[in-house]
Amino acid sequence: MQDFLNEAELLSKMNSPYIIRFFGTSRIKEGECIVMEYATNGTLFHFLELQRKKKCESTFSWGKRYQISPEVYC
Amino acid sequence: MHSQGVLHRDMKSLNILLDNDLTAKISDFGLSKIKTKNQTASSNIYVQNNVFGSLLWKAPESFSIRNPYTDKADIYALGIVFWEIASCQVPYEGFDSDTIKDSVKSGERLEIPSTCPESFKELIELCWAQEPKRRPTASIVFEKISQLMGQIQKYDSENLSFSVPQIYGSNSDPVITFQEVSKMEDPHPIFTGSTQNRYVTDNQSAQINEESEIEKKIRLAKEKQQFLLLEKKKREDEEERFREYEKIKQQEEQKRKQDTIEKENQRIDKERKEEQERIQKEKRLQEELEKKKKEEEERKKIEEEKRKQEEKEIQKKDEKKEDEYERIEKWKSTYRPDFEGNIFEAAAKGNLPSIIYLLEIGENINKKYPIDEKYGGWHMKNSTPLHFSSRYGHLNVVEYLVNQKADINAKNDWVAFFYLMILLFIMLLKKVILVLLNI
Repeated sequence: MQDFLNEAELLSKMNSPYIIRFFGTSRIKEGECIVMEYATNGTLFHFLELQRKKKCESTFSWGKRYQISPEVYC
Repeated sequence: MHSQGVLHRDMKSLNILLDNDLTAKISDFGLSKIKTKNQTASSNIYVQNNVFGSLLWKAPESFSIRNPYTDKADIYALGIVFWEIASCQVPYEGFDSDTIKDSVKSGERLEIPSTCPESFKELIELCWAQEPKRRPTASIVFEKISQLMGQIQKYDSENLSFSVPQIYGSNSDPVITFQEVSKMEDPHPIFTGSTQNRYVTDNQSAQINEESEIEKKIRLAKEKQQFLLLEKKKREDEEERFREYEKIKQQEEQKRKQDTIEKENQRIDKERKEEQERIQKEKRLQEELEKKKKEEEERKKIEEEKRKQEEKEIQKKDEKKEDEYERIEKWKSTYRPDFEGNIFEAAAKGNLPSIIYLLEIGENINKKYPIDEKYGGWHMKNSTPLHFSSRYGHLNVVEYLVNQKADINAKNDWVAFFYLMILLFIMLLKKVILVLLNI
């Protein structure tokens, strides 16, 4: 519960293109949930896994790779 | 993020989401914390107790609890993420957690693939440096990445046979006039929208010096067309690959579905069998219960038959008694004896014909008379009608009793007592006489 509140509080403060957008929190039967921006391409880990399965690591351009790389600075 | 004093503390590729435009967005701030001046060691316990997944992105100094979690540990994790992007692989795949710990502590790192550009390689090596002080800050990382983006656009343009002349080391002097600078500031039509295109515009500016405006326009149009075509081809290739991947995925899903359906069918069959067995068991139990019921009914029938037989016997006895009574009444009506009332009373009072009749029937004459009353001066208790009649002096009765060897003096206690007394007296007399004779 503390983690949840902490996360919600922090996310509400953040406003940058490199951090997922926070819309709000809500309570449902299963528990509390955070409503965030929808990321169509999933997590970076799974994206890389997908590239691995398609067997196109070699053709995967470095420009895209730099585009993918996350930014802590904001 | 770091400039606002927030530490993520759980940076990994699983916590980074990709947008529709493939821009990376950090998420999952569940373990993050606002950096304070007096940060204690206890705040680090969260990370220590975290699941194995986060261990791969953990900095060497944060394995010990004493060291506080700093922004440099986040940068280390970022370095590992960069390596993942560069190699397209899972970090430390197939290693134990202990070996990973030891290797990270001792300063060993993952192998960066040879295809990786050296500038990026350097950045990764800086990010996961053993000493936290050597690692760059977030702003430096950002700048370097943006620099790399700029370079790559130049790199791509070279690959796409864009005739970019070399500025440095060429014969033509790279003198740029004021007018040219103003032209240079206009963004190149191909690279509109990109923010990191200064490097490229420098190259283009040199080209502008040599060519006329008309030629430039024609060339640009051609380049545009080529670029667009190449981009289209790239997209189509990617889409085809994605379709193939989706097909494979769908096939796998179908297989899974079939498997699940088969499993469900098997389960349903099993359940049916179990139900049938249960039903059979219930049937058996019911049959046993019915058998028991039948047995009980048979027992009841037998008991009822016994009762009926007993009742019949009783009825027969009753009928016999009734027959006797009828006989007596018939006898009464035919012979007309000179007594009134019960035949037993009459016999007790010494009425001869009643006694004779009773003897003829075979009735138990010696039955004790129940009522304690006196008849003709005699006490009726413990005596029978025949005794009375014999005492009255009816010879026939006495004869009959003697013939039957009946105990005539039975139940007359006082007579017996008298006889006993006489006998005892005689015995005493005999003993006395013997004693006297001996003396």
